[in-house]
Amino acid sequence: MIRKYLSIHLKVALEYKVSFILTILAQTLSMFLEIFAVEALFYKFSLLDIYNINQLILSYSVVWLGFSLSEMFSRGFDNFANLIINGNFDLLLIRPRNIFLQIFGSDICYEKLGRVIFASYLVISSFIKVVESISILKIILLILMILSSFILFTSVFILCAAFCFKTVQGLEVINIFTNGTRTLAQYPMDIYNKVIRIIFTIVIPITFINYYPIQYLNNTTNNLLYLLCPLAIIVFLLISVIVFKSGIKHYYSTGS
Amino acid sequence: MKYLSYLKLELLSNLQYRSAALAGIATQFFWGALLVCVYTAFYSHTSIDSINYDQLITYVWLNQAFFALIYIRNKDKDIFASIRTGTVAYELCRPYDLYIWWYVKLLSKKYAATLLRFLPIIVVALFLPKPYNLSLPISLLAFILFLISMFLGSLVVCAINLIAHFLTFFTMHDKGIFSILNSIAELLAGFDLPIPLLPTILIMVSEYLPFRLIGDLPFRIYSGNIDTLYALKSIGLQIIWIIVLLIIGHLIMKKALKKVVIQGG
Amino acid sequence: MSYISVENLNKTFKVPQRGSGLKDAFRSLFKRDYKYINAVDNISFDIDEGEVVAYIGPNGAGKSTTIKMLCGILKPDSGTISVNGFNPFNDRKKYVGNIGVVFGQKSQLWWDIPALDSFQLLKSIYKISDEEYNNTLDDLIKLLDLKEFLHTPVRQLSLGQRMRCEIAASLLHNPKILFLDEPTIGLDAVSKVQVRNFIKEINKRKKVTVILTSHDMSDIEALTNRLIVIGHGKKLYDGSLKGIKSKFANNKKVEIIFEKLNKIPNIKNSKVIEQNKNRILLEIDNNTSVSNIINKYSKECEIKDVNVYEDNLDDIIFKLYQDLNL
Repeated sequence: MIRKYLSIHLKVALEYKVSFILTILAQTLSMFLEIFAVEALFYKFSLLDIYNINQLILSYSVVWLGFSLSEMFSRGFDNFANLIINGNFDLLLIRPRNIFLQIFGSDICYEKLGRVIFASYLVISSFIKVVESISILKIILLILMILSSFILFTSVFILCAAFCFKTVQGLEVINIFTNGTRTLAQYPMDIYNKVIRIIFTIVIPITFINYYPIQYLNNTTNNLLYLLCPLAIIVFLLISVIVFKSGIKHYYSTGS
Repeated sequence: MKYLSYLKLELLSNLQYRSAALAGIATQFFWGALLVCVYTAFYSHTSIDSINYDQLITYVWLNQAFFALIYIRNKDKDIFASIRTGTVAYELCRPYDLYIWWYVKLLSKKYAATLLRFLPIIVVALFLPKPYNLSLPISLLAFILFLISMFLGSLVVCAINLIAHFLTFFTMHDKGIFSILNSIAELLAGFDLPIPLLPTILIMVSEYLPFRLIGDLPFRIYSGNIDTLYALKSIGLQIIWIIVLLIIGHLIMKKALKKVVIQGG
Repeated sequence: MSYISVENLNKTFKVPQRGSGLKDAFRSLFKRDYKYINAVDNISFDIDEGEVVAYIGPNGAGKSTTIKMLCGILKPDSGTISVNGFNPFNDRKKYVGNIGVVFGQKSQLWWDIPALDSFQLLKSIYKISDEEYNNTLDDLIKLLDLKEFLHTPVRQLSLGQRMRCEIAASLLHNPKILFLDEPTIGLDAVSKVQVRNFIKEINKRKKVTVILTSHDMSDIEALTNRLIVIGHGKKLYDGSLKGIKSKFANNKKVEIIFEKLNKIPNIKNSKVIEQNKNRILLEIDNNTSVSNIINKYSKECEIKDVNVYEDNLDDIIFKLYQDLNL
């Protein structure tokens, strides 16, 4: 079924080839400009002596890769309001399959492909420069970082989607949550003051997907516990799934 | 005047969308807070010559408060539809100049949206604890110049907007191109980063283009980042650009309409 | 026990109330007043296997609330629903494999690609075996005459063609029950007749139980003998089409046009309403046959033309709603 979903959305995307390619380019450009702004700030404030440029790139490109993978594959949750508004969520409920799987399948946004490729390139190239010697453990950690970044943003999408069960009015506010998380997470955590750092450790565990793991990658620490950091995301995922499920329950009894 | 009564109508109908306005205010406010966090973090390490911390924070809040006014990526469904489907042919028969009519339409929409949104953001930002707050204008003169250049800025952005609408007629359905051009325009208008924070080469490029005249200029006049003489010169530049853009827009519209009328939509 | 049995079904919604002014809008941010609406109020009915039942009522009467509960996507407040032994809500996942749903205003087809691609996706969603899928699809293609446009992107189809594809999509997994929510909405006259014929055909050939909601009374007249009328959440009528006609229809009116009338014949249960030189208008009881009247009149005059005026279902339902102040 997953394969069918993947292929059906690709068919849709390829219906308008020129527009599809241009949209990919536009999406990639807007991502590039945001990253550009980050680098420009570091350059303007002459902070590149203090911050290792490769670590900086690795840090934000892991965020971007996870974010764009989420945009691509978890689009159904990102756009969940539409599913509710046009009533298509009902159509998913009358099918005998797992609802999460169906929401994932309801929309796959191949237009984000450019972002995914560009971010992957940045991740790999900066990874090679950050680690002085590549080891299996470090590669596994990198994969865990990417996975957990993907899971984190998908969880944020799911959490925001759960909000749609309550109301679909004024949802732009929710975009702050997703885009705001991404924007703040682009910068290395230690430039922020304590309050924000605590928020990003406990409330939205961004530090576990880049800040701590990078400490291991660049040999700052040899503590193997750092390898397990990305797994902290699972807790966040669980919470968002539980919230979403209670949202469905609410939907079952109110129908709106 | 009929154009003014149109503005009034637009304002009243916009009042219907209160929840959208509320959401807009909240969004803008949170983004402002977020950017303040980021910039505060940077300034806590070091400072730079081109713009100081207070000026930058003020810039951020003004940017958020007047976002609806300076927004470049603005699409008017009616104008799009009327160009695309060819109903524009009927509109040409109406007793007004279509170009001015559409221009006023865009402008009215912008003002209606802005008037509903800007005040709460300004008020809250003014009363935030120092140093995260919106400062008062540097002088009365600066404030007056700010108002003038803000108004002219809105004329600039609408002229650019109208051109963008006509251009989509030639590229038809390709939203991609529209989006790419918009992204570049936004970069050079200081949306991604305030112009003083851009790399020197981009600052130079932006000088030659009208985009920085939309919001960046008035915000910097307000905070005193730009001195009076340079402000006056830039205001003159705004007027020149408005005239140039309106003429360009008019020419493009003529060309687009010729095509529509011949095709019959 | 019946195939579908609904007993004392209830569903109440809590609806926030808000005034229109700015002040009320502000107040509602902090405190909300709620109104309780009995969308479905103690409704019971039974439906047998293979029946076609029309479920009708004015907008907001509780039709789609009932349908949603029957589909298992809305939880009843109280009362029981049993469909073929399933409790739709509790056994949702197992149950929904047995039903097909067509919402006239929602689409389960992918807009930009041919319907066939959507069908293949549904095949894997419902885990339909290749053999069953091929057989069913062949059947549906013949029945619904889909062949010509199966490979055309859905966006290029006419509304009628699209509705046929929608119906096919909801029948791929051979459901035993088909819910049709306004299946002919927006269709032109020809497509409406086509869609109705297909529904009849499917009901006959596949023994599918059909539950239909529609505002189009001609749909109902063409498709079913049984209707359930609801209003304000309550069941108002449950029975045959004939029954509702005899209960609520006005008397028939017969207009006869002639050259010259010798004498007005005496007919039981008929009343002259209007009469002039070469025309007479009679009101007759619904049970009196028109041919009898024509017979008697033809003896007294040379009939040039006869018109019969009869309430159609629209009028009847309208009267029914009016009587009950809906």
